[in-house]
Amino acid sequence: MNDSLKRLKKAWLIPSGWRYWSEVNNSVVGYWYTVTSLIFFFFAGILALLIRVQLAVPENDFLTADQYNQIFTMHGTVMMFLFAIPIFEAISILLLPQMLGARDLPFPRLSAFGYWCFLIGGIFVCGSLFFNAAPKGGWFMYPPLTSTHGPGIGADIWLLGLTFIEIASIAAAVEIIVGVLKCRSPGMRINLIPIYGWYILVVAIMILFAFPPLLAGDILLEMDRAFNWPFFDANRGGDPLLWQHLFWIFGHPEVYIIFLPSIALLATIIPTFSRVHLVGYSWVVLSAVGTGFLSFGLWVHHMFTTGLPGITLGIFSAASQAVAIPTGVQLFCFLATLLIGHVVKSVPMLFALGGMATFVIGGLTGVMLAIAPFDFQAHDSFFVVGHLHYVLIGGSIFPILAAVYYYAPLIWGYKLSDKLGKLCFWLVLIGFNVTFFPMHLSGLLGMPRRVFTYSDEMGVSSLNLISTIGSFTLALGFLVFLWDLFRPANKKKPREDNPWKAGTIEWLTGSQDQTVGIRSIPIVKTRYPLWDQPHFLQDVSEGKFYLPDALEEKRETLVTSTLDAKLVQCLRVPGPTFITLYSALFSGGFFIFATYHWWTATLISGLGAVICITYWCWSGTAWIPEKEKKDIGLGVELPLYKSGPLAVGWWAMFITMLADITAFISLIFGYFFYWTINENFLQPHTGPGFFWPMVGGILILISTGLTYFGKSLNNKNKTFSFYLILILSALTSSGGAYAFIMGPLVYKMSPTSHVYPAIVWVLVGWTALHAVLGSYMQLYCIARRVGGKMTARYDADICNVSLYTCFLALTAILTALVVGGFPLFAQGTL
Amino acid sequence: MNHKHSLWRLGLSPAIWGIHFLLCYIAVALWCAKFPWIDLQNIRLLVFAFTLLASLIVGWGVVSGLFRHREGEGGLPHDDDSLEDRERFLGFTRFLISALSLVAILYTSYAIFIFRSCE
Amino acid sequence: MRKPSVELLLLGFLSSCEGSFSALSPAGDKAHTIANIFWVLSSVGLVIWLIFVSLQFYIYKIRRGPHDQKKTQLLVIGGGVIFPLILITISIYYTLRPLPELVARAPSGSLAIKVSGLQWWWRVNYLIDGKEIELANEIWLPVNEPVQLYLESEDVIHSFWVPSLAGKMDTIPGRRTHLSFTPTKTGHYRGVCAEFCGTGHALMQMDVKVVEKKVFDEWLERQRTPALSDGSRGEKVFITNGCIACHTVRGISDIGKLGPDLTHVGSRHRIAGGILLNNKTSLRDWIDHTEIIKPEVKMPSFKMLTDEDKNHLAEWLEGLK
Repeated sequence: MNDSLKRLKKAWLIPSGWRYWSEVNNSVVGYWYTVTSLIFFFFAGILALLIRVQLAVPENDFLTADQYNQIFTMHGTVMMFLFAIPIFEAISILLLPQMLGARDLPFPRLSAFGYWCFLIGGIFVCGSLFFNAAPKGGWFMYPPLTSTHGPGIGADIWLLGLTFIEIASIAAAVEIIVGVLKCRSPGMRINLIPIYGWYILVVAIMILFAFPPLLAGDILLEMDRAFNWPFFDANRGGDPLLWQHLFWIFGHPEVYIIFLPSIALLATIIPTFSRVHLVGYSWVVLSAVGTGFLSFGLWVHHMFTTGLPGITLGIFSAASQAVAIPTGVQLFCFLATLLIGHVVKSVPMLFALGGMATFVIGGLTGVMLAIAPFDFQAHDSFFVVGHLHYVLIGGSIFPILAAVYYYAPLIWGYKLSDKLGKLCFWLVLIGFNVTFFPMHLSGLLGMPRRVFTYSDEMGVSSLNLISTIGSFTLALGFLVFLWDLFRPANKKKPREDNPWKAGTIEWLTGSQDQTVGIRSIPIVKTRYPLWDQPHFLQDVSEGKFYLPDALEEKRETLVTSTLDAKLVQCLRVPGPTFITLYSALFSGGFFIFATYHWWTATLISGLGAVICITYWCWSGTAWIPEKEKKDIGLGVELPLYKSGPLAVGWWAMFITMLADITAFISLIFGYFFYWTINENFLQPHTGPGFFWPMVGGILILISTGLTYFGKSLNNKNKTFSFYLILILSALTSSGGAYAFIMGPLVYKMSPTSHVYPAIVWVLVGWTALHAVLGSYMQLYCIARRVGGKMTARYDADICNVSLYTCFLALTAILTALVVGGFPLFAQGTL
Repeated sequence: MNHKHSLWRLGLSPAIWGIHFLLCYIAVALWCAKFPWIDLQNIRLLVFAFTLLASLIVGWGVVSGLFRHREGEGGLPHDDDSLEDRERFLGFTRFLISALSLVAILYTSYAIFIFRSCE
Repeated sequence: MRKPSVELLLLGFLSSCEGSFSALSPAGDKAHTIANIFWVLSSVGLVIWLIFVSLQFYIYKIRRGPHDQKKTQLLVIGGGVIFPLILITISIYYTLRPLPELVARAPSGSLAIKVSGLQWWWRVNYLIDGKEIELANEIWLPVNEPVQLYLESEDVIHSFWVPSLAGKMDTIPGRRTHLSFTPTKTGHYRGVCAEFCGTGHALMQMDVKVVEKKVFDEWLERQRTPALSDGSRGEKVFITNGCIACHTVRGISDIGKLGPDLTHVGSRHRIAGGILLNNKTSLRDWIDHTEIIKPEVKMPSFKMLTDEDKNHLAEWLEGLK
């Protein structure tokens, strides 16, 4: 082994012993993430079997109604939030850098933090089942069954536990977006990136806009539960339907958030086994982007029977059917790829084809459900249960199984068994269809969803028995899968690099050290470099491309430009640390203690989280390098530090704030929603007046201006004025927060009396919290400068904070206009 | 050839679809819940105006995307390692996405025009 | 496309009990429309799926060498784009057109009924000449006459669903939703709550009887009349043990509003929210242990009554025809 490889290995060394858990590298964290989500999958699968046992015969008493309701709620919740979304993030964290030819994702510690949040939140939510305290309002949590009519802490566990996990998901989305856009191999232009990258980019962006409405809903529902703010209480102006809107604005895109990454796996697998390029690359990109957008226009099709005006149903019915077009295109592209290629028969291909055939049924019944008239009958019946499992199992589980068989050689170094794989495939395919096909019929025969039992009179007894038999066949298939994964014979298999002869660059890492990833970061010129670029594998493994060495023994990867992947920066990424774990523990404590209303503990945990995260930022971000530029090989020198829009950190802030502002806009939507449905929304109430909100808005606007001024002072190296202006800015920002709070306070608006004061309080509270956070960040910048971590040249911190204040200003102005201006406008005085 | 911000432009047409969709949704929701006295014809006129405007913008996306796709020598699948092919790829993709957006916009409007009341 | 008898196709799956739950044997105008849409859609869907799967089978099992690239790309454009585009356009045109009619209200002057969902039963109020006649868990309708239902909720969200007559409609606290349809066939139909509403969600059902107009009028007249006090032991048990705090029996006591109106409970097909056949034994069982029959139901069981009292009470209730 030569010196350069030694240094490289030393830089990327995985700590041993208990310190192993401090690792943050994508391949390790991605592996934990994948395994953990699979464990949650099997947990939820066992719950599904319990459901099927209970429904095997009419009037069964295997489970009580209460147990059944907890179990079906947890089955849905765990499958959706702890398996389906995390598994896509897990696979992406695990494989995306390899596919893009990067050594790691740009924010390894953020991935690790996300993982720990997911693990803690997941255990907390699942654990509740063993204490008979699990949520039992369904995974959709419709109030008022989960608010005024839902005593116990089950719903709080759901709301707070999952809010915590959603934050982790957004973190992963930030990571993935920046990863795909900025961390590709040089030369990998936007028309050459692996199709998986396109899908995952679309999905991550969808998360940014889909999760925040649910977060907003969670906030409202938890405020309703914990403090009796009447957001969903019809007697005090609230409305249960707002939750449904917010939930499904999240919930429908979520189906595609689950489905698209899995289809992306198929789009990766199918060309390999056809030995040709994917047909219709652009068409598939159209599918991904088109589905991503359209999926935001479908949410009301989950609310077709809530009595909304027919005209609204019509709009959403049309959009829901339109989404079938992009969805269909990609499947035909796959078929075309197979047609022009030489199909190699293999286990992953079986799963891919089986998944497509299954998914098409789900897609077709999906179009049926999108048709409002048919939905009037099928909605909330077992027909929907059948449909959604065809979509999710066909569109997600089959591709994931295909991917496990496909990527096993990359991850463990050997192929799984063909024989067992085939057996597993047939058991799963047959078991699945026997389980779920009859459900379409039992639904139309009148069996509603979420029933813990049914009478023989309903005429669905035989159908249910068949379903139950099918479900155990399906379970048997998964047992075979598990046996295939864990059987001891696997260890004796010889290592195989790229046994499928794939053409994409993740297979470069096969023969090499897992964490180092690629021996050298290649120049990519085609979509399938291993097939089309001569001597590619050899050149890469001989270290003939970029970064074959780590002279300073630091972890490094390359940052490239978005469209053409031109070299921009050599990015130093942070290494192992426990601070992410501590941050996650304290943040978890904050949410978990809040569930039990242990406010002191909640506060202490929250403070702990702030301290940990601050320390993490302080010690692990925006490192000032020892030299300006670095030689990365092939005679290229790249800068080691970037700030502003050229830095990945700036993009992370930008993307995070997009999600943040989306949550805020969801709250604003809530305000206007209440105005629309209430005859007397503004009238009998007073406050928060015009004055205080405007003062708040203007102060925060000034603070933003001051921050920008401070930034330029920093660049001019006027240290003292910089401190002065930034302190002033922090004060103004906090002053703005104070002014916002004063509005409802001086009018003595009581948030428990009616929904109007409650929503005003939420809006000003949100804004004030952000303003205070802004002040904190400004003080942080001062401290950075004092501590020598920020200079006139190395100014990433203040760049990011000034970006934050832009969003803060937007939030403040909107809040001021809505809570201060709109009441006057609506009453015609403005 | 302008090479700046082409990635944002990919999202333009679907964003227009989104805005059109939201405006239609909000218009009918407000009409039904808050201002039922407004005449049906006015609502239809409003929706028609939205649709026309949106179709024009998205239609421009279709046409300009198509032109960009046909610029120069290379044909599909646009996978050459060159600036021109990258542009053609973005053009073709923009063309496809705009066409889809256009179809979706028309569907939405059709759905509104078959109704005469808020029932 | 008419589907004469799904029951025959499915043979054993449907037992021959009274009261159909099925959306596939429609007995109302709207259920008919929807069932027709279903048969068309599922037939087209089946054909599409068969084409898709045959193509897959062909690729994986039958054909030998690779196919021509140009021709195959036509498959993407034709099969993946043009064909779905046409199909979806037709579908939107064809399936949205009946929508305005499906959500339209019944003509004014039609029979109007207010139905409220509660955990876990249905309060039914016939709105006749400006007056309300309160019943529970059972609805009678005259055949071939449109009916307008006003749906409300008194606690959480429920959903009113009588599959044979029409699609479902949610009942939402603070809102009033509408459902209207015209029953087209006399018969006995069953309804369920379709929106998850808590522990007893599965045990919230109702009976709907569609009868000739003449029979309906007679029935309504009988339901309208108050019960007659007969001074029986059962009646005394009812009054003295607190039953009247929750239940109204018009003519005896009308202070109880929390539970179902029992004025003509004896005339109903089922009790306990449409789940137990109405007879003396089940009435007794219900009084004896409500919490076993319907966990977490608001009505406490009246175990403390003597066996004799329970019998008398059940007998009296059964007699309230």
